[in-house]
Amino acid sequence: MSESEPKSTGGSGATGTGNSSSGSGSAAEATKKVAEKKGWSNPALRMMGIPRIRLPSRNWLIFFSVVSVIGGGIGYDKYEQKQIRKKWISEVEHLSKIPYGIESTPRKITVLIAPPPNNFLDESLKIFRRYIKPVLNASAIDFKVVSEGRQGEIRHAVAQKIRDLRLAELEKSKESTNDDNSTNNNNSTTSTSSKLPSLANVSGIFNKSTSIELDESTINRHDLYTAQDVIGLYKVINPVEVKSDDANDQILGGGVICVGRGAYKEYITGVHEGLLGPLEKPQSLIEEEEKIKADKEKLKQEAEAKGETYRSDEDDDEDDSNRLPVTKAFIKPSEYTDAQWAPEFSHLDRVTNEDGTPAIFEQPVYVFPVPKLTGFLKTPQKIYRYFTTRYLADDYGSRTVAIVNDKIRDWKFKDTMMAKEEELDWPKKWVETGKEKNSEWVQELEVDERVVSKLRVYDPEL
Amino acid sequence: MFGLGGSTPQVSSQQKLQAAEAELDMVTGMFNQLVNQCHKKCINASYYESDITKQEALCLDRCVAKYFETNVQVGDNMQKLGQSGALMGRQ
Repeated sequence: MSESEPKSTGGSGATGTGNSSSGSGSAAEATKKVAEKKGWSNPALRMMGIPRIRLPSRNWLIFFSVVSVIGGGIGYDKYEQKQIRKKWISEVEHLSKIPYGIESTPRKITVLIAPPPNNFLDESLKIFRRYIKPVLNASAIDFKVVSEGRQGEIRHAVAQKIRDLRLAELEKSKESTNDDNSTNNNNSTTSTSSKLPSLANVSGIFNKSTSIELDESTINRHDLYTAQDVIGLYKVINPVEVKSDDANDQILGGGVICVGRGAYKEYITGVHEGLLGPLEKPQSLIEEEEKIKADKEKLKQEAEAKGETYRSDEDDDEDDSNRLPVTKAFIKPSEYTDAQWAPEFSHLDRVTNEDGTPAIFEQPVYVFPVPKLTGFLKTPQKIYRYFTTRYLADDYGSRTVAIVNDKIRDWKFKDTMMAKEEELDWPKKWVETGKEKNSEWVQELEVDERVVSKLRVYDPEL
Repeated sequence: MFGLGGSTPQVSSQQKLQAAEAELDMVTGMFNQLVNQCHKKCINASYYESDITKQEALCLDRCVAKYFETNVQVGDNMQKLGQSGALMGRQ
């Protein structure tokens, strides 16, 4: 309050204008008033050499309060996220505590992760790592992550998996028809003789008197005897046959989690492509690919003739230029209705993989949107979301618990809209270029009734 | 002693035997390492149950698979390095 600067104690009459309200005080009193500094101290503290304790200046106060409010906001949000994670983990923890034999492996979920538009895969991986993975781990559910760097990779992977399954099924049906035709004579003769140890060979080694000069370079030890023959131990216990839990439960087993609306779209189109598309790559597609390749080669040569390095606009990264382009879909969405349902699979039974687990399209599916904003003008929204990430953590935690607890229902048409809210956040320019390039992300998701009737989804609201 | 001893004289080269011993040592060493590591990592030392729990089973599965894969990868790379002479050149 008082702005008096005590430079000289002698001139007390001049300085004591504001302070000494009692009028003309004595010189000693004025000196005491002037000498009193701002802040608080104590003789004991002073003796210890601790300076006077006082508030910092106005500017420092503003700075400190701003920093502590922002820091506190971030810290509080992180702390809450941790608590929320703990809450959801404890919700499913009992599932992992049950005694478990060695003859089975836990349920396995496939996780498909696609990067958000105009961004890195890491953004989607972060969502998975922070909010989904801890819950899956706590509930002792195994998972396999399939990620993509370019559009179409997930679709191709899913479709190829289904096609491989169809090919295997085709092979099997061929074999079974062959077996029916041929007679089963061979089975009875071979079964007994092969498993017994060849004692005739062993006796030659035990018997030292018959000095057989074995040439080590020509005869393999395994042909003469095995360790079993020498020691006299035989395997009584058959090796354990490990079976997946998914194989035991066709309805609840497995699961597919997509992270990002794009991954979900690709998964659905991939399933359609696998089930309705042809088994082999259609001729038109091969021709198209070759044409693109030839065009590229031509451009490259032309550029080299001019002395420039050729870079196509599709491959932004240098090391990408040698990679093959993603294989296009074998079937277009417009051809779904005319396409024939995969003849290898029965439409009524549940299709299984070779190890007995349900095929990927028989497993229920769920999608987590990736809330990622891009653009400078969205900054306020970004800041708001940053400080309230705990709500996201809570939401995603509850959804993951629903997946863990197998809240399943049949596919409804509204499921084509799952995580569609993410599309509102997609940058407009990106969507435009996507439409120009005929990207599968920006097109409407087309479904076929035959395929969709097989699908099931997780629903946290159940 | 029991047949194995009888057959040793036929192995003429000492080197082959040494190589086989070294390989056995390596494999046993790796196996022991693996058991140690994965036990330390996955099994809860307070032993609530006599059986392993689901969590531990999953952890062990992953641990063993990862260990083997890493071992193979490292082995391959070392072999490549050894063949190209990069390892010797550095020494």
